[in-house]
Amino acid sequence: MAAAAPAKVKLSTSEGEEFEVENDVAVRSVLIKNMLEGKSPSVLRHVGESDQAIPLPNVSANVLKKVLEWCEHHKKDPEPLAEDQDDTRRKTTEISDWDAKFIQVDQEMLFEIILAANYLDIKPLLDVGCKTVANMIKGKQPEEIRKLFNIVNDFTPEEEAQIKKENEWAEDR
Amino acid sequence: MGSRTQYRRKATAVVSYAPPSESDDSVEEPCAGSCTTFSNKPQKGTREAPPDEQVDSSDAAAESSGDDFRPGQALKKKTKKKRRPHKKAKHAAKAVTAAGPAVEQDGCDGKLEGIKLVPMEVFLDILSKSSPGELLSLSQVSQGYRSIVTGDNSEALWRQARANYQLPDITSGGFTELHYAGLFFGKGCAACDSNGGAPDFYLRVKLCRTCRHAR
Repeated sequence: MAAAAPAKVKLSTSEGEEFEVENDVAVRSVLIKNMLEGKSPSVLRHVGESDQAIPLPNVSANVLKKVLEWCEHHKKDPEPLAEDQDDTRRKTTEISDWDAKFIQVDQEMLFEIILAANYLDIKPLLDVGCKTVANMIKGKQPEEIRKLFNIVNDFTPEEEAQIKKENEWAEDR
Repeated sequence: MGSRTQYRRKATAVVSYAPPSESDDSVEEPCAGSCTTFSNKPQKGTREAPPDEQVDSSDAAAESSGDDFRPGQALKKKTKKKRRPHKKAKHAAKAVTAAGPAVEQDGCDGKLEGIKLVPMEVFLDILSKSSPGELLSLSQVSQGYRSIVTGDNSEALWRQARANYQLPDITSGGFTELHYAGLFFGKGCAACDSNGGAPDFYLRVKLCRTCRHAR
């Protein structure tokens, strides 16, 4: 047990800033976990075994800080069974109180957290982000979604008429 | 079966709209710059200008790939281009004079703009937590989103969305997911423009009382 991986691991952000993190915090990221366990390509394994920092070129310091805050809080979470996880992930759009507070950030940070969670392979965190976005879209009409996403309606009037007609399916039956 | 294949044909027709959705990607470039402006909401007033610019450039981007559009579509774009910035410009002018309330009204504009930056698999992950209602709305948002939501591989998406709401599967006999979603989540009566209406499971359409009696 004592001979296992070192207690701390260094991570280096896109800016080159280094973070020293406890192992059990860092391994919330499956990407880092695989690196440390030597499941990754040899170059990366070498990085993991040596004292060098693991480079995370896609993650900036302020985002990594936030992500590590989440990992720290969730480091003792039991690892869910594969199928179990899938089930609970799908069912609800509920978010725990702590997570809800954690994810109360501006939209730029929200999507950066989502991207980082995706890159670092932290499924539960990715899930929190996706649920948050899904909740923001909930019950919105097309025009409201256009506003939220800041996109232009590029349907021609004919197409709009066609769409409307499709929704009146019973009529042309 | 006839109507089923008919829907198929529609779906593939939609897929051929892919070019506009690719042009969506090119739209991301100007967005990436202005995204930061959106997050800095507290600094009001001067902040209205960038989105204005962006509407312009995104339209330009869409038009640059205009060869893929039918002529009528391109025409429509131009008229829209005229109309849109105008409105925004008005807002901007207002915002400069009275920074507070004018911007507040526009509070949700571009609030989720970052969604354009996430990879497709993450976007689908987000959709998998939605209801058929949101998918229905998305299908009416723009060409790109419509092709995602109604494309050939969209079936799993709808199945998942229905499962989230524990709605039964009654998509048989040519009754597509879109119609189904309209039945539950559509706004107002399908036949007239009135707002009321209840799903009619026999006719499989949402109708207001007057229209139902008319049938």
